[in-house]
Amino acid sequence: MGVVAALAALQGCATYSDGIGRMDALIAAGQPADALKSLGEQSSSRQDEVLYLLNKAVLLHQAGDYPGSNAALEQAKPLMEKYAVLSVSEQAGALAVNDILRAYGGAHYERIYAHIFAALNYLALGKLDDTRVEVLQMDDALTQIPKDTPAPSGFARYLSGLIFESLGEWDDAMIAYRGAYEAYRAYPAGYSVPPPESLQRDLLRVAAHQDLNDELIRYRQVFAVKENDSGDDLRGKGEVVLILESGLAPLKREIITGVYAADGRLVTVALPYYQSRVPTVTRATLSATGGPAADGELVEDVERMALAELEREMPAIVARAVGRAVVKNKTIKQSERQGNDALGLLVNVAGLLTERADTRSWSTLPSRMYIARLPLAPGRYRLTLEARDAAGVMVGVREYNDIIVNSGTKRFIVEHWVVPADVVPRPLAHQPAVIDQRRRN
Amino acid sequence: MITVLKRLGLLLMMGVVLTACATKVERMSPDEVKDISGRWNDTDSRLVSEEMIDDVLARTWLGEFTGQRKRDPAVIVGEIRNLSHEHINMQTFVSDMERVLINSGKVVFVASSEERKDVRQERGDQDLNASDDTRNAMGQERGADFMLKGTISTILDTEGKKQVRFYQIDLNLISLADNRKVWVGQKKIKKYVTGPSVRP
Repeated sequence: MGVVAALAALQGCATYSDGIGRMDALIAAGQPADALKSLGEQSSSRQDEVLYLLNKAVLLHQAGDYPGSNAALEQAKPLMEKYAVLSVSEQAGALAVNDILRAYGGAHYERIYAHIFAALNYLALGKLDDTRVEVLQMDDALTQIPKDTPAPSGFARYLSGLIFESLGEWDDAMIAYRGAYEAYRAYPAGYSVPPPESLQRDLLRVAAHQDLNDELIRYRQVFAVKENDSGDDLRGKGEVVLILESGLAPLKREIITGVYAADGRLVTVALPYYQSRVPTVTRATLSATGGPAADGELVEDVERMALAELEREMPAIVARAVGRAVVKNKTIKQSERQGNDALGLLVNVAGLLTERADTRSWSTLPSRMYIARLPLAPGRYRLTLEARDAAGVMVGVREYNDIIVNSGTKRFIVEHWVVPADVVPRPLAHQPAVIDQRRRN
Repeated sequence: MITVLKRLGLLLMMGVVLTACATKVERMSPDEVKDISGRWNDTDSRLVSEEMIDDVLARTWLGEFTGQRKRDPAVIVGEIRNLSHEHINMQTFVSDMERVLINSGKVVFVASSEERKDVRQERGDQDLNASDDTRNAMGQERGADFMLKGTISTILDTEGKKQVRFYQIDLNLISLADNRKVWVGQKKIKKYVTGPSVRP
């Protein structure tokens, strides 16, 4: 009893996502260092440690401190593994009080993104061998994920293929590109991203290089290209690969609603739902001064993946919330029967205060990922990135000087783009299927 | 009687809780083996370097070289690529090998390409600033006779909480005179790691 009351006081009146508004505003204003300070000021309990490290890693990445970002990710990765294991006491706490008592180990797709971000950091530092290590870890992690769980396999394997090809490991590149193509095609309708066209060129090129003639013929038929097309756009040239992170992932908020329990009673529960944050920059063009240009292609939609994952988890979340409500009701009834009305009232109030939804998610992930690939003859270039919104209006321009391109290799550039309009929450079609909705905020 | 027992039990529990709350530090000998997470650790680095260097020094190439050239061979450490699943600290591994090789007295070590940059800068500075009798002239470096290169690879076999981690370290000693590989060494390490299925 005392425990419940104490916990009610400790939890305070805010859910996790209520507290990060200031950090989001600073990210959107292009001040990741200040956002990092704001993140540090938030109280970080052991349960939220992973989320703190993941957000810190993204903020350091945006600030350009790639080694620092990797250090945070290296701390987060073993913790994510540790918290993936069920804790007996935390489950008991979750069933008695609320889900926030469980340590947050990250959704499956967030665990893969920890590796993806580490790979992006190493790419930005130009350390291909270290990126390769992350690619192997990513591959291992993807095989551990249970089937039918939303995971960024398409983007992860596509990135792996690019890195293997850049290191001259053609067989591994072929396997990775194939895996990427299969993954993109197998994405469920809920969050489909079509296979990027550049992936088609990659499959043709690597199949031709490796003399996999049957496969090459099959790809030519499927992609409807000419008979002698072997995707050889890169003969004698190098390539600049620009990876653009746009916007911010959706934010989980809380909704108070009524659900019918197994015995037919209506119980009040707090459930999480996602608020969309539509990225502004959705078109990007990379060009060399006075030379060729390439458009960015969408390779990942984190928002849809997050939604799909929440939908998959929802039955378990609702079941736990209903179970909690039933337990709390029983406790109230018990104290009332014992004649202790004041205690019953206290438990009732404590129960209401502690019924909070778990709104923890890695919200500083980008909302969408784009890749622009520009083949260039060997030489030194100045490149320009033009970022546009969906209507084609120019949002901004960034320049990269002294980009050296060598024949047969890829030069990677990692860029992020968040503007203030990206953190404005929008209503979403996706809500948990419930009756009697009353919004708390 | 029962209250006394209850008090005793409470004190005992508090004692247990309090000891669990304090940080404990235990000094260990650097040679002691303690595997905690199953990842590459200092024991692996030490085992590999000791075994492989013992192997390389015991082979015929050394006798042939000293017989022909009448001096100890100079070895330089080239690139040892990390092709594994882990961010292994290659520097400690290379340092371990260098230490064992130099201390054996049979082989001369020369600075690797990164280390040379600083040394050459210092020598260039001495050229300008040091007095004639204490100056070390440029162009007097000892050229290496052999280069040590290698790779570390891993194979992981994972099922649920169980994992078999297999490390293979391959090293080659390549003659800089004629590109011959005079020695090829290989060491395998295999670990079986079981993760916890529940946490407290």
